[in-house]
Amino acid sequence: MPVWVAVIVGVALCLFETLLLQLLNIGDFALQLWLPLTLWLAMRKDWASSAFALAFLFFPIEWCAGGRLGLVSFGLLLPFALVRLSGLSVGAASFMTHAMMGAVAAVLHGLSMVLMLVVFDPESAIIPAILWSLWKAAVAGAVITPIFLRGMVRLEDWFLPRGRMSGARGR
Amino acid sequence: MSLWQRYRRRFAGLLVILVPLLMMSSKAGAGVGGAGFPGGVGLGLMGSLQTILYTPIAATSGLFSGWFAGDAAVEATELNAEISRLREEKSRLIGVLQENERLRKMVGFKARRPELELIPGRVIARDTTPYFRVVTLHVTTDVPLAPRMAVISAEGVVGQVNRVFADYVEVILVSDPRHRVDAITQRTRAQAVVEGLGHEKDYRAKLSYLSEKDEVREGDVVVTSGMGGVFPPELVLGTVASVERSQRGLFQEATIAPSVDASRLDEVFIVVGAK
Repeated sequence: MPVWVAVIVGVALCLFETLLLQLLNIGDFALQLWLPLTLWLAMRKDWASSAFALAFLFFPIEWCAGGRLGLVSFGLLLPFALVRLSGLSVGAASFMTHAMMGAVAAVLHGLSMVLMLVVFDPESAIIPAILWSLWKAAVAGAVITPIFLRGMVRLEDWFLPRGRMSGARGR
Repeated sequence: MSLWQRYRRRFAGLLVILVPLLMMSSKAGAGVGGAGFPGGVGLGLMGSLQTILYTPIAATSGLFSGWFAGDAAVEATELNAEISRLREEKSRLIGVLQENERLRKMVGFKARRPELELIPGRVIARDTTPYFRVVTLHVTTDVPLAPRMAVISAEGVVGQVNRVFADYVEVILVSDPRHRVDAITQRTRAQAVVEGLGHEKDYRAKLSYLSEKDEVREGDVVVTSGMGGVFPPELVLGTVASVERSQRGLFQEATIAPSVDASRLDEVFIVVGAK
C-alpha cells in the first residue's frame, strides 16, 4: 500500500475519533487510534517512507490530541523504534500478540511523555494525569490495536492482493 | 546512487526525531493560552474538516443512539422498514427536544446574567487522549476572541479558551491538569484554587491551597472568586465531593465534582466582556 494512503487514513482516523468521542459523549474513553497506526508504520517494509509518513502525521495527531505541542509525538518515537527493532510483522503475529503489543505501546508512549516532562518541565501537572490514565490507554491499546491492524491488512490487500507483493514484512 | 537515495533513511530518521522536539520547543499548549501559531493553524484546518464531517456523522450516531435507547422487546421482533423509520424519527425528535431544552436553559442563563457579554459556541470535537480534557468549538461571530477568555454554560464554568483560529476555538476544560481558576466556597467564602485533575473519576477537579482553618464540607458549592479578571465572580464551578488534609499540612484539599457535565457538552458561551 502506498504510504500516502496511510497518511490519509491516519488523518481521517484522527478526525473521525474527535467527532465520534463528542457525538457519543465518551470523551474519556479515547482510543488513540494514531497509536496502532504508528505500530503499523513501524512494521512496514520501507522504513524511510514510514518515518516520513509518521513525521507528517505528527501534526494532525498533535492538533487532535489537544495537549502540549510535541509531547504526544515524542511519546510515539519509543514504540515506533522498538517495534521496528523487534522485527515484528503485521501478518505473522496473532491477535493476542497484537493486543499485547498495543497495551505495551500505550504504556511506553505514556512513560516516554512522563520522562520528557520530568526532564524539561518537572512541575507540570500533566505528569500525574498521564500516570493515572496509563491503564485506560493500555486497555484501549489492547482492544483497538488488533482490530486496527487487521483492518490495515485488509486495506493493504485491497491495494496489493496477497501473492503479488506486500508492504508488510514477514508474510 | 543519488545523494537523496543515499541519505534518505538517515534524513527520515532525523526528521522523525526533530519534528516532535521542535514542536516541544515552541512550548505551545504547556498552559492555557500560551504560544500557539502552529497549533492555531492546525486548529483551523482540522476544525474546517470536522465541521464538514460533523453533520453526516451526527446523523449516523443519532440513529445508533436511538436504536440502543429503544425497547429491547420491540428490537427482538423483526426489524421491518416501518419500525426503522419510526425509530429514526423518534431519535431525531428526542434530539430536537433535548436541544430545545438546552437552548431554553441557555436563554434563561443569559437573562439571569445580563451583565455578561456572551457569544454562543457549539462543541464539535474532543481531544483524542485520555490525558487531556480539551474540546473544539465552532463559533460564528464578528467579536474578536482571544486566549484565556472564560467559557461557561448554563450549569457553570466549562473552561478557558486556549487557541483561536478563524471560527474555531480550542477550550481547555476545568478538569484538564493545565487549568487553574481562583475560587471561593459559597457558604464560608474560603478562598482556594481549583485545579484540574485530568484523572480519577474522569472529569473531576481539586480544590487546592485551602487554608486548614477554613471549614469545608461535602456538598459545599464552589464558585469563581472573580480574582484574576478571567472569570466573572459567582459562577458555579462545582460541589465538594470529598475533603482531605494535604500532605504538606498547611492546607487541606478537596475533590470537586464539576457542575457542568463535561461528557455531555453541546452548546456553551464564551464570555467576551462584562458591562
